[in-house]
Amino acid sequence: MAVEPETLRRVAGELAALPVPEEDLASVQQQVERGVEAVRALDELDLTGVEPPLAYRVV
Amino acid sequence: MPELHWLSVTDLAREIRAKAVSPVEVVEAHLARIEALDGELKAFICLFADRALEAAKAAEAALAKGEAPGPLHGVPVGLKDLYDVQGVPTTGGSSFLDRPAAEDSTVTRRLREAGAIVLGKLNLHEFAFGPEGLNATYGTAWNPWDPTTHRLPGGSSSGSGVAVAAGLCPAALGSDTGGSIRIPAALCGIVGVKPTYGRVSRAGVLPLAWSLDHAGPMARTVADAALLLRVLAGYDPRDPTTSALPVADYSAALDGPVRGLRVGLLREYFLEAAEREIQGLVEAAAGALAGLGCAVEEVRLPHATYTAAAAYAVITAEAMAVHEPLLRRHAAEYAPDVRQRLLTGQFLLATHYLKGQRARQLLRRDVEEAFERVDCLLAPTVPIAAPPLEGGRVTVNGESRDRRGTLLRLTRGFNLTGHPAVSVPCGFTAAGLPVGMQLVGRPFDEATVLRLAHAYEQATEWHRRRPPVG
Repeated sequence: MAVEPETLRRVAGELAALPVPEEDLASVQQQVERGVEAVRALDELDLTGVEPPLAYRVV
Repeated sequence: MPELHWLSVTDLAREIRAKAVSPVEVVEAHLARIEALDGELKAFICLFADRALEAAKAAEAALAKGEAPGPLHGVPVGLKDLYDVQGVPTTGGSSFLDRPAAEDSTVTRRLREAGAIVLGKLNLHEFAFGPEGLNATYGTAWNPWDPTTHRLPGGSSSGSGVAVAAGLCPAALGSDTGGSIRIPAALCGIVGVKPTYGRVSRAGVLPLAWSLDHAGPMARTVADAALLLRVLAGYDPRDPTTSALPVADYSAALDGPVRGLRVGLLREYFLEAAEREIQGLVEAAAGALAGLGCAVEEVRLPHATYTAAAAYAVITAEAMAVHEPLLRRHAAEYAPDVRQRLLTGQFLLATHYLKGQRARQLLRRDVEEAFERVDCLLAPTVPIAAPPLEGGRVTVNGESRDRRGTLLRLTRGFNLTGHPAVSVPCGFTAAGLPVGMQLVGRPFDEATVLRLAHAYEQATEWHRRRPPVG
């Protein structure tokens, strides 16, 4: 079943830990849009076989 | 002898050991300088005047008794207000963090054990989350190179940059998550060292982004920065990211030869993004290094264009995770620019964060490959000189650019890769504003980077200029 983007946005908003104050909405929205665009640019990369440098070690 | 407030750490330590000057005189001279200038400069958030004078008297008494002095015996230093000092709140430059620290940060303790005297806590961009050095609570520190126009000191370690440049203290600690040591060092005309990730403990330092945060020294000369780094560096059980690799004697390494070192000039993405005037100064510096016998060639980092995206994904997610508990209680008390940047972090997906982390590996591989050909990378530290406080945009070679992104552009890649990087003065613009260049080395090879920076510094006069204050 297809999920509408609006539904996803609402769910994401509910997942968000903190409400965005009214006076911050415009700036946060603009920054999120710019950020999403920036992160999308990473899709151009071939990340096959590239593991993230997470530091977890058992010992 | 120059006025005490212009003596270097190295000279102060030597003169104090020789009993040519007293630690009390030295501390009093710096406190008087702070009293005279810091009302305007706003470098310090708080001063420990009484405590510093007591420590200076104790240092003097220890010398009189013949006790062996540490390498920084009696030398005053300042700490960015992210570093814990027992019994004093670590404000992070905010208006609301007021709980006294239970103990010193590891590096605060190491400085004291080396004999340093902490003068006070220094201003910063609130919570270190900004390269401009803005701070509404304590006032944005004033770049001392322009007494008429309030120009950015650079950040986030703004107070550290201004205090050292203006002679309020001979050295300070900063922290660097995207350039926060190197940017104010460049804009204020001093030396700043971002060591290798894991070289200096961050225990007891208020975090911003765990995988990007670095602690390091800021000073007026490379020799001073090397002296401080030796004191600060080393394994710390309180910080599991620290390395057990031995710490080099960075001071002893300074005078080694640089002839034959291979220097990779980063033109693509780096030099080409700078103001033409700055390009000229960095190219002249490359020529000076060639004149010292280095082999300079151009190198490129093919994935550098993804730096901003990877850095955004990593820092935004980590910073929001760090700040979420505080934001729940104090959202209204944050500076709006910091709060807004933090809040964007909760709209990133975990996959975005991991994509940034994986892209980071490609950038690291680029740098590692470059180090198969060269020993050190060279680039401008910041594409512009200190811009005015007002306005969110800057002009670079006739084009309007976002000020924040421009300030961060050339430094944050090496927070992602973790390589050591030193910013050292390499000239002045026609308007009299300082310009810095960045030398980047192999992991844990701070000694080579500092040696090269020192050789360049000794071949030039930039570090001898003083800002027109006081």
